[in-house]
Amino acid sequence: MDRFRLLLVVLLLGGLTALQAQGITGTISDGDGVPLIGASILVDGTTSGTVTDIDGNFTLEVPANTETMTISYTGFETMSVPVIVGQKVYDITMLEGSTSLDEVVVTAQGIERQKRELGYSVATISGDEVGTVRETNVVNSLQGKVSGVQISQQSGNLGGSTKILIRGVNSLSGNNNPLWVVDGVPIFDNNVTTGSQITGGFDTGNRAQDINPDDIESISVLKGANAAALYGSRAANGAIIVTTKKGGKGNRANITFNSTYRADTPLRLPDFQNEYAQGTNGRYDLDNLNGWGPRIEGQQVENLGGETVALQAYPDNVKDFYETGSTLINNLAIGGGSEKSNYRFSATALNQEGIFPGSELDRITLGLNAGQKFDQKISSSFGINLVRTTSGGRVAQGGNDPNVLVPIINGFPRNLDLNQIRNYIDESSGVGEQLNSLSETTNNPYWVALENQFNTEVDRVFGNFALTYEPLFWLSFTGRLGVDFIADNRFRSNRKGTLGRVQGDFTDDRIEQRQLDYNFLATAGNNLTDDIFVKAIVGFNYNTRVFERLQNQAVNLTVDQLFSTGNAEVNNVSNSFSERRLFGVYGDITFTFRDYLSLNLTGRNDFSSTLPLDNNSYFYPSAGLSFIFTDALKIDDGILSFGKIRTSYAEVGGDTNPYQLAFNYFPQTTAFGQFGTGTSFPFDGRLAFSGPGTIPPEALRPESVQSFEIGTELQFFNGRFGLDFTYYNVTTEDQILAVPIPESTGFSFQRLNVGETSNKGFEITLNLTPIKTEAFTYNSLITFTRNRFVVEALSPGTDRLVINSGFNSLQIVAEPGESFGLYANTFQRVEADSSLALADQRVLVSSETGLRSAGDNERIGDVFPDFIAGWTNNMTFKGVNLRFTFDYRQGGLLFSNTVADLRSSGLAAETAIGRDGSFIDRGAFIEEADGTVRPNDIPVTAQAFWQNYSDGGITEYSIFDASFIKLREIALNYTIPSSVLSKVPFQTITLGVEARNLAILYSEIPHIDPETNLFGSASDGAGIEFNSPPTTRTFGVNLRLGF
Amino acid sequence: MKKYLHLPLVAVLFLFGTSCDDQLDINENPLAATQVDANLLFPEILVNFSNIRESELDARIGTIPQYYEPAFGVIGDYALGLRSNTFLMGNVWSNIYTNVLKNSGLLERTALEAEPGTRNNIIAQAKIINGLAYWQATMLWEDVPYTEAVDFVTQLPKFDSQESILRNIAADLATAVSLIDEGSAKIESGDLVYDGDMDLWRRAGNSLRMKILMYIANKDEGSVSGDIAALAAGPLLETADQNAQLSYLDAPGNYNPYWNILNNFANGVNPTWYIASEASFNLISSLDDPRLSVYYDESEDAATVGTGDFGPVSSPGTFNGFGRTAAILSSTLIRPDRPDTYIVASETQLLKAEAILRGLASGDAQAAFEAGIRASINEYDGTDREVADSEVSAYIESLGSLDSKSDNAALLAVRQQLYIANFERLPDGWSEWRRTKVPTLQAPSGSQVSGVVRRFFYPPDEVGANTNAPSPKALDAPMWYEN
Repeated sequence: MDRFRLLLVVLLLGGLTALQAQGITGTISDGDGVPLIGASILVDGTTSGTVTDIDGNFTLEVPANTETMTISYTGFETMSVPVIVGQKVYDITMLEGSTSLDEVVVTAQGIERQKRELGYSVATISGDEVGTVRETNVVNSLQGKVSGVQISQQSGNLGGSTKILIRGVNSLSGNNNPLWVVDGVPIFDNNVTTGSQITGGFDTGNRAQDINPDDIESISVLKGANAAALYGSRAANGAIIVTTKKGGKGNRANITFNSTYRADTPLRLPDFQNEYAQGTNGRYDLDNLNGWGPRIEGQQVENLGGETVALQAYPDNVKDFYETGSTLINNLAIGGGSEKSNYRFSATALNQEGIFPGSELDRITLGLNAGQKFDQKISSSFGINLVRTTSGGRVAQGGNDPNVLVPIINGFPRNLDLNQIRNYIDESSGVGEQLNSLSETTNNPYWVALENQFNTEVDRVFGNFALTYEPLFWLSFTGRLGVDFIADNRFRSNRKGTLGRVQGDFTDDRIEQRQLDYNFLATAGNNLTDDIFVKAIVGFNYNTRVFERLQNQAVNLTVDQLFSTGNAEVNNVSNSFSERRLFGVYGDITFTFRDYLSLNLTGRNDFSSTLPLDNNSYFYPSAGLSFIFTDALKIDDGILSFGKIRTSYAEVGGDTNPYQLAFNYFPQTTAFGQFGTGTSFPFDGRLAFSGPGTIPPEALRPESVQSFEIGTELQFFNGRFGLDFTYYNVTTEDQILAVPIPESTGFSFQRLNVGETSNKGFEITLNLTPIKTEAFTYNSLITFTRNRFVVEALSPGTDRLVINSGFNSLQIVAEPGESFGLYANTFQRVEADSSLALADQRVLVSSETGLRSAGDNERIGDVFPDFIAGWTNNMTFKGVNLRFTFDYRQGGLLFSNTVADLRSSGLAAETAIGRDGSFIDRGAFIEEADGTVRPNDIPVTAQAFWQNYSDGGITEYSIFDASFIKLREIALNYTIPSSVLSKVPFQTITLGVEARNLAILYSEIPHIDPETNLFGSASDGAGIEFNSPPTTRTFGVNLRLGF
Repeated sequence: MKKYLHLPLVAVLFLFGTSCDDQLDINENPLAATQVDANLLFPEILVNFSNIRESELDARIGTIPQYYEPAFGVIGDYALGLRSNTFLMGNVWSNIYTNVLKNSGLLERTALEAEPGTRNNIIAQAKIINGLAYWQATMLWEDVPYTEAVDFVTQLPKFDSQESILRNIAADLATAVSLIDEGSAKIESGDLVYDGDMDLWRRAGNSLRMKILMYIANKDEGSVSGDIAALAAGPLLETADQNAQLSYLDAPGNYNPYWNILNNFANGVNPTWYIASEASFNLISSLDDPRLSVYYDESEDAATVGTGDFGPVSSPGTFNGFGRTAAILSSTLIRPDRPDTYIVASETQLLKAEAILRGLASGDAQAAFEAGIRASINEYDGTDREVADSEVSAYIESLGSLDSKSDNAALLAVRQQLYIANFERLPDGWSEWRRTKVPTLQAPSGSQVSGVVRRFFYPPDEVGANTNAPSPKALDAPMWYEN
């Protein structure tokens, strides 16, 4: 043992010597008996003192004449303790002060740190804040509550994904999601789609949604590379550290029951015109769903059912198609423990029905964790979560696929009587026959919703096991194993009779993901001198992730509704597999001087399987400094009660995905054909292989992120006013990126190390408590984030790089010195105006047609928002608590295909104008042969104008400023006073009403919720809406009981 | 106590029984190959090329040369010059370059890396398909990347003029044909066109080359007349059974995509979605051509069934199903095993007849004319619309011999036959019409351009990514090779 200790001392701590205790020892803890780490003890009348170690222990030499010592700890009342001659052991309990500044935050590798000693910005959200209004996707509940973090819900689908972006986009590759860590081990948060998002795919959600809000004790958001150096590359975009609730102390069982019921309705539906019937050029046409038909005046026409009826509008036909969704969440938790053990079990059932007929999602979550301290200085804990999610009727987005439901619904002719299509199936013959399809190519939406369901079944197990050995009070060893296993089975079918897939088909999609993460770390902490406390960690990490997928598309079914592969004429089976491994070694050392000055240094070296074997190792360091000047300078003037300055610098290396290095040929199972007409291989008995779509890289280098931040935390008036300000500058070099290249090269992408980008910005958190009386407290939290993304340099010789493309001619383009620009095809402008901003240039119409004609591909603007802000208000009056949150996003762009379609099809309200007379495009100009320009005066039909204006190939006018202000959340809770409860078996009863996503208070985009994105959380293809299901507005009630 | 201390350490060691590098040496995709045989690449090239031609061109742009009028936007109103339709041609561009040309390029490069002379036939096969694909590209967009395209080096390929592309393809085809030999390796099992019959590949290569030279001759006879004369002497494709084509099968998974659209939406029948267009129907009908009942189905109108009444036809740009009684494209023309024809005897022989008539080649124009008509009608041999030889002969006779006609009338007769033979072979039919302007077509009503559509806009993705893309021309602006 001695030899081993000696080795460690030399090896790990480099000269840190263990002091022999001579004098007094003791423990400092809080009112609950939790040891306080780093509490300072000062021998009065001297300059000697010390701080407590990780177990709250201290040893101190005291001169013989000492009378008192001062114990201080931020957030606790400073106390004076008499030193009694002869008493060698002092167990001191400190009382919490009026302001709680000693937040302990959980940082990298599950290491609890005092927030005060951190050189970087961390935001912590309590379990109450995410548990009060429980979101189906926990990510949503972070909205507006953390500065520097942008959260965007991607669609209104049940279980749909939410994207989280911390301090902007670091990587151009689209992989900017932070790392999720639960109880010290990383878990998957990826979003694997079934089907192409462009041609009709399903957003199955980001898998962080499997974290149960009821089980969350706290969430720490580590915002930058600084905070996350120890997690390695995956945390380069920040990390979200979830700590689950543990059983409390005391042998009494603590039982809670939490029940919520909510109702959902579409937040925003398009504004339709209700004056014109279906058809074209003013003629009624039952086969044409466009709204360019005749004025609705009660004239006799043939309807869908073949009857002759008087033409009338049905203004609510779209609204009435949607149902009121419902959500029921019930959680029962039991926890408890003793001095040496803790135990908590939690069971949650979530049952949700969506706004689309037949859509539902059910989730059962079981969580169990327990820990035990044993006699031999060993402690062990484990946590395990079992989550089963089943869903049906999720709605496809994108185009082409017959199951993309939203354009069918939004495309209802205004004269469509919903009652005409409710009867959608005839099963009298034993085989379902579709009735009342909207046209020869447009399915009855009820058929799509109810017969062609997309079903998912996700079983997930994630958990951790930890074993800690503490041979000495200053030394511990921990091994922690994390596992995450996801079995994701998806099934979609097109019932025989579906237009576009009349023969019927189905797809089985089985995805399995496994992650194993192992960490071994040695931690030592002790006083180096009386004033300096040192804590050091060395660790080793092994991480492996496997992704496997087996898909079968079964085409042309013989027997209706029999989803057996043997019932299909063709089965196209495809499989995929990838595996990656990573080794990391790391060290972390913190020096704390007198509890107010801390220096933290870290270093890590990773070895990744995804990089070239001869260049697979990369090292990255970090340094952080924290200085609590109010303590150092003993400022306590009643105004400034706490002040800290912090700064840090960090680098993070990065690898890439597996199998990117070789030029591979891939076996093919299908060949594309438009309208689902693709063929399969073997074709006439012949197999087929194809070269890659991406040119592989030569001499790939690891990515590198450099992150600098400086900030301050200030508290005034005893914490009534708090300010947290951070400035950061994050630079990413040598990004590994598959860059779209012209298809005329034969390839769609080339993988390269690309240039340099930066994110500079600042984030502000203001915490105000303007009113605080015994009865009434009003607290307000304001978060503000301004991030400026700039492409600093591209590879030599390149001055323009298309980052993302392939969608209605839209492109996201990187140009040095600029943020990402959204490029689109525009209409022709007056040549003389070309020096002006695009918006100020006069638009030309053709002097022949009176219609705008095609111009150039132009930069429309920046993709990313200028700033985002959140405002959360919390009012407590006796047992009543009211909370409401606003979100504000300024700037950025969104392309809406839904808006374009509504306009070109003559259904949007604005298209009703000018139909009777001659429509003149008054905003445009005509250029004469001699070059003079005059206002347009050529009449066209409204139909010609709008079909040209909202053309699919020229998207200029379908792109909008994406700014919005939303009333995100309101929750009103009433906790019944305990005095009233003495006669009932409950310890606490809380009743609440809650509402989420209540209102769009401001938006520049017509017809849709501006907060949407086609690509889901897995991509940064921000700013594209394509037939997304409407988001929902939610009202609910909540009951919480404590036994 | 020591033994507990060792627990985590043992766990560490346990994980690393092998060295770190061994653990990390797992970056080879177990589901991909680093090299493949030519027989495995060729089917990918052919099937993808045909799928895109059938589902995007044959099924959708027949409205431009007025072979049919389409029912609605899903099938496409390309003829109306609407931008929203034309940008959908992006799939075709993508397919031609990133699938057909990339893989044929890989095929050729791999073959060139082998010992010289051992893969000549493979190089020839790759070059002929390559030439066909570039011909297709220039017929859709005129100037396209050629010399710098798919060269595995250039990042922003320049766009070449149509003239240089056509001349280069012709030269490349000459090289291909000259490489064909008895001894070297060839693609056989993967050759869905000819099963490795290099004699037929030679004929197909020559035929395609002659066709391209005829396009050049439209602008500049002098530079190509010698080559045309040499090619006309053969060997060329002579009969329908020699046609270079991809044969789809009446088998699930191998259906012709054009027919499969009807299968996916309408149980495999044409519910008056592709209806007869006035110009083509009237021409075929006026010649009393036996292909009338090959190309069109009789009206479903109960009153006229069996009387040879095909039902009403539509004028350009106006679609009318006439309550499901309109004349429609036949269930033989759009059938599950409809082949995608790459290079055919009918067109080759008719082009040869034209070359002779124009004095570009010597030979028997009448014989080529007859062979062309016969090869066209024989394409439907084995279907339920097979036309008896005697009926074909009678029809040919009814047309009168070319010798008996004036030069102009003879040329017109040949060109009418080209238009009819290329019926619903859209890649060729539209291109030939632009060369010959026979028959005269009116611009469709409701068109946003004033003439017949001659080209498509470049796909926006290429325009955005490739700064070399020329600025767009009007959709009815003629291509270089047109007169």
